[in-house]
Amino acid sequence: MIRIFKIAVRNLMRFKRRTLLTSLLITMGVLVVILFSGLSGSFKAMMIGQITDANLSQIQIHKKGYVSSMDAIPLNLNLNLKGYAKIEGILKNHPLVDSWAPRIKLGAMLSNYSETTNIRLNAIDPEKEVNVCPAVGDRMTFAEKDERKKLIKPGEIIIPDKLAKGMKMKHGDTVVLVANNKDGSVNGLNFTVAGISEVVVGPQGKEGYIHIEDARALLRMEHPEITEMAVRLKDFDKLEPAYKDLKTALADFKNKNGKPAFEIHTWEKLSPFFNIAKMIDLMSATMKLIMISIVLISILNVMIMSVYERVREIGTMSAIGTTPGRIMALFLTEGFTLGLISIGAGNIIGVAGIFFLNIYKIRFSFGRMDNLLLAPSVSFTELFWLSAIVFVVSVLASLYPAYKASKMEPVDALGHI
Amino acid sequence: MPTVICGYRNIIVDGKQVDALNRKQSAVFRGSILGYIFQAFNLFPVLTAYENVEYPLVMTKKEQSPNRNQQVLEVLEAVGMIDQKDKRPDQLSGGQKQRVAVARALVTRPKLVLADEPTANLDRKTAINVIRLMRNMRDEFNTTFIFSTHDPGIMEEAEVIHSLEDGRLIHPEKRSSSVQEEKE
Repeated sequence: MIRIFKIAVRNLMRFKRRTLLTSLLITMGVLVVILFSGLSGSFKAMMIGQITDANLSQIQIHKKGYVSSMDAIPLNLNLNLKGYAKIEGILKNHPLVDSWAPRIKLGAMLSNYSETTNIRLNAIDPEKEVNVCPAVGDRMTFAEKDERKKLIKPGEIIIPDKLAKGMKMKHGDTVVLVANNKDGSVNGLNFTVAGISEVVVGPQGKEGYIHIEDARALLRMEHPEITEMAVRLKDFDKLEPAYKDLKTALADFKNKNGKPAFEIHTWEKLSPFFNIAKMIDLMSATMKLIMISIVLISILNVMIMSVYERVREIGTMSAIGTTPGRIMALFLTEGFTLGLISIGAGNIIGVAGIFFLNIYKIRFSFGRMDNLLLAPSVSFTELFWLSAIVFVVSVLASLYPAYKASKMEPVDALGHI
Repeated sequence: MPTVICGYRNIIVDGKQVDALNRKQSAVFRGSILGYIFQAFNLFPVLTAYENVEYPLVMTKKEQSPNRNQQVLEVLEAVGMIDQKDKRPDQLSGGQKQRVAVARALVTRPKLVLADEPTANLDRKTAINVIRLMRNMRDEFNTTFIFSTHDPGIMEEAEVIHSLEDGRLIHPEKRSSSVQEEKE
């Protein structure tokens, strides 16, 4: 086998320019896929991280029917204390669940005494919220650095930066929130602007934040209610099994009509970015398909040329007593070696490219999110599978030329001009 | 000398019906019984003289390395190419290439060597040397050589001559080897 490999390498070196060009083409294909995977994967991971860790959370549990009408921010679809206790009972005992936090969603009128506008608010329990969304404060600015840890106190409000710019509001300003409760009565409370948040992509990305106790006071809730329970898992990769488990457990609770009392959704169902993520995956698969085509056509072309150029040589091999199997092995090894050299070069240059992209940081904007930093990376598993694909395609592309060479009759081949 | 019997349908060489063999068996047969010397040498350009001679042993006989090395060196010594063993075909002259080709044909100790105009691309002196080399090989390894040629000078060196005329075989002309040796 070593001898066949040696002959294959020398045959490749015999046509240096052709081998170099073909290898370069395949190397470029591998390189582009590695860079694209690194960049798109990093973009996807970063955006999902932003959505789940800074805003939406990984899983949300609501009263049945809330999500389909969430745009209207209905207050009559809140969970009462009993429902809250039931959900908490399930979450406490689930081994995959890390933490959870109650939220109240509401709409209100925000006034800075000179202008008034609508605002969607997310009322949170800050201590619990930072456990569920650890990056919630990362895209917020506060008057003092220490305040980021506390996030928000009763009487404070965090407003979206676009709104702050539009209404010329800054940290420490006093504003009024006016809201209708579910019975239709109106209430107003004063708040101090404690922080300004950058926009995060998604349905809840442009919301302001207030303390959950303030929301209950503003909405004049006689008994504590929540709109949703945000859930964080110990391992994000276990999202699907955890979701299925929780969904099954919640399905046991029925409302008065005998229908499920709760509904549960992962971030994938709640954020439109999931469709973008799917598109990224599709583009990534397309890139791989293009690379496979490049490898397949390049090696097929080179190997067919090689067979037709060496008909007499194949005839000589055969006349000397080389079995068809060994002739086939020789040409397969040539194709495989060409693929192997290109895989090696592509992987080395690709990893170096990722390394340099990390040195020269790439910043970009997505939607209304600015100053996002990409940290491209490529996993060993991904490199392994990419290499395996190129390797298999190289062998497959060499199969036909190798078969053709092995089937040549020595008399015909030796008489070839 | 191996028995070669050619009938209307059957070709039997050394007791084997050649035309009944499949592709793999044919290859194994060629590797073990036959040796070939080509008019255009047909050496593998990517292999050195040593590797060209070694090739049939690696690809067909599967000889173990120590024996293989000894066999290759022996036959290269016999054809006078031991000093050129590390050169590739493009670094050798026509005569040297043909010597390597002869060595390659003989390294497997074949019973029969078929040579297609082995001297056609060589000058007279080299051609006679190659023919003499083949005769020495015959004596040393008990190998039968059948070769085709248009060169009357080379024919002088042969023991039995069969003439082909318009694709038909003319009667054989047997020559005494002692007469040839006297000529030498």
